[in-house]
Amino acid sequence: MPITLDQMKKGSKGRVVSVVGGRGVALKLSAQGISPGMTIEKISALRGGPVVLRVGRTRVAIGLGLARKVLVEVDEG
Amino acid sequence: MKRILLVGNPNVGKSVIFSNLTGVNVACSNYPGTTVEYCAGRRRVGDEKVEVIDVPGAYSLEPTSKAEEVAVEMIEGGDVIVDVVDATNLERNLFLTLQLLERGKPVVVALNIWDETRHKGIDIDVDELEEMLGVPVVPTAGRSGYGLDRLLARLGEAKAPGRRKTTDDERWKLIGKIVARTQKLRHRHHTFLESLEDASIHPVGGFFVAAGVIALSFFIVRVVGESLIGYVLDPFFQTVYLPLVDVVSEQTVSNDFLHSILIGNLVDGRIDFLQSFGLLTTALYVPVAMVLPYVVAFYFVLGILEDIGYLPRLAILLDGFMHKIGLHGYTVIPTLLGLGCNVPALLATRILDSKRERFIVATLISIAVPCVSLQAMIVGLLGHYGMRYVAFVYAVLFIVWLALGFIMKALTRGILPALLIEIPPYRPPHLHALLVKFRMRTFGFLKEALPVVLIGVAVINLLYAMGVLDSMANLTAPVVTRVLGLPKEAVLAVIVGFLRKDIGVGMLAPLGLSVKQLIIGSTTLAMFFPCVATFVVMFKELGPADTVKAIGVMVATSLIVGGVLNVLL
Repeated sequence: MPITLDQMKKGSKGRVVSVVGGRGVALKLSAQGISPGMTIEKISALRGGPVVLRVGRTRVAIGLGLARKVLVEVDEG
Repeated sequence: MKRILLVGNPNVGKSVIFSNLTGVNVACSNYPGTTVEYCAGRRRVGDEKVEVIDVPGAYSLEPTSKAEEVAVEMIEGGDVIVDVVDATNLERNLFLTLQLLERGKPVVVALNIWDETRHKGIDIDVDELEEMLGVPVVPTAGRSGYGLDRLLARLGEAKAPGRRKTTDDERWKLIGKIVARTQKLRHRHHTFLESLEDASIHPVGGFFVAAGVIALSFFIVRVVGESLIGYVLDPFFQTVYLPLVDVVSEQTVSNDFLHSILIGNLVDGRIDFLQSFGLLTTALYVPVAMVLPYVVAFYFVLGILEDIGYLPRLAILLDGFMHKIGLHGYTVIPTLLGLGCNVPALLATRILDSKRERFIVATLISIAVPCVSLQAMIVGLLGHYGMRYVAFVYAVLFIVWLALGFIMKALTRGILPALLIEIPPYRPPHLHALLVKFRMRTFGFLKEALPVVLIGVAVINLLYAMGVLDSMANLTAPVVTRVLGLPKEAVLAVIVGFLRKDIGVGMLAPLGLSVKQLIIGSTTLAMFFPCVATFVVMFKELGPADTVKAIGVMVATSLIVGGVLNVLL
């Protein structure tokens, strides 16, 4: 069952399944490596604030509104 | 002349390579029709003269921002593209590389920050990468200049492999393959800087780090600014410069008109740099001896914070809070710039996506974020009576900033775009690049401020001599005296405040005001109207309708706040 980025647990890894929203949103996220099939790791989240992810070797901060548009399949274990 | 374009993601050391390749023959300008800045320089490659252009940083050639639109347009006009890639972050960077290879322009890849790959535990097979991409790949380290000769030598081998256009998903798949074949990662422990990286965006620790960084920054700005004034500039003006203007004063004393323009009024028969208000006295002393030291100190600290990579972290930390006033965390950056000068701050609002957000940020900055010149004068004027009065003015401005943010969020409509930023790793600042930026900003201040102050002071003196200012003061006196509780002469300060806020506040000095009046005067003056330079930029950035709205908000707020202070204090 895919969940959104903000629902992911801190420290867990997952694979992006899809991005809900228009082409503009998808392009922006994709350029940062958040694109279907890519592996990401959630590093931390600030309450009511952005979610911080590790994508490859970079860290990316995603505002809460946007984080809710990214669906992820979380790795088990 | 052949055009060589440096293209790459933000934060890959592109500008350092650029300054290393071009030296001092550099010109930076805005791309036509935009406020996106790019730099161009010239050099020799072999026997040939070439133009080297530093294209604005881009993550993608399918533009999602103004800077990326400009990058795409510039790439069309280039002859050879040097794709600057962060070797410590191959995966993300190759996205742009693959898009470039689909464009049909000859490309050479500079595998930059090569010197950091070893201690980060990264091994890259350069030959294999070159094979897979089909273009020359040269390891470089912009900071030390390593590999740049080889990069130039291989420019001629630049190839346009003409890959077919693919979708983003396919591109990421291909990148996965390339990275798996060419890059090996070794396990290693976190370095000190990396632990610091985590701490500065930690939900709790991050706020302590931020509070520390901000407190330290203000402390440094104050100490550097005050020391420059106390030990260098004020002594210079008092012991070296004063005797010279004294001579001028004696020579012109018979000519009333000339004397009042050049020297101004004598206070107790002597020149007073703060109060005399002549071209050679106040008009030079205020910008150079009172304001410049803080400008220098501020840009020194800001440059270091920018270069280290701290500012995006502050944006992330404050994102949740800023959403409450209708903004996202990135607006912290133009706001911080506004503490230096409102002009670059308003220009920086260009990075914001929505019109609504630009309007709110620009209005908030011009009303409640005092530029360093204004702050210097407030400190200079109120500081004598105690720093708590200065703190009070800051507190009032901060409350106004918050309250207006809430109000404008409620009253305006539009989408609130979400934050999406790469968090760059901390890097030690690069001294040369730091100095270049620092020099540009400091001279920028002098070039912008000095002429306005000189012309402004001359015009005011002329108007004063003609009696125009007196009638204006009489006309507006009821508002100024009844609502704000200030003497009618303070109207002059407000009028001058339109030219330069620092000079306007300075004009309150000779009026013999009480502390309460000084507080009200400097607070209202700070909020009342943007200075002329800010006004022009605001007009260009927001358009006439929003500018009128913003100024309406400013005038109304300053009168309300000034009136309330007058009743309460």
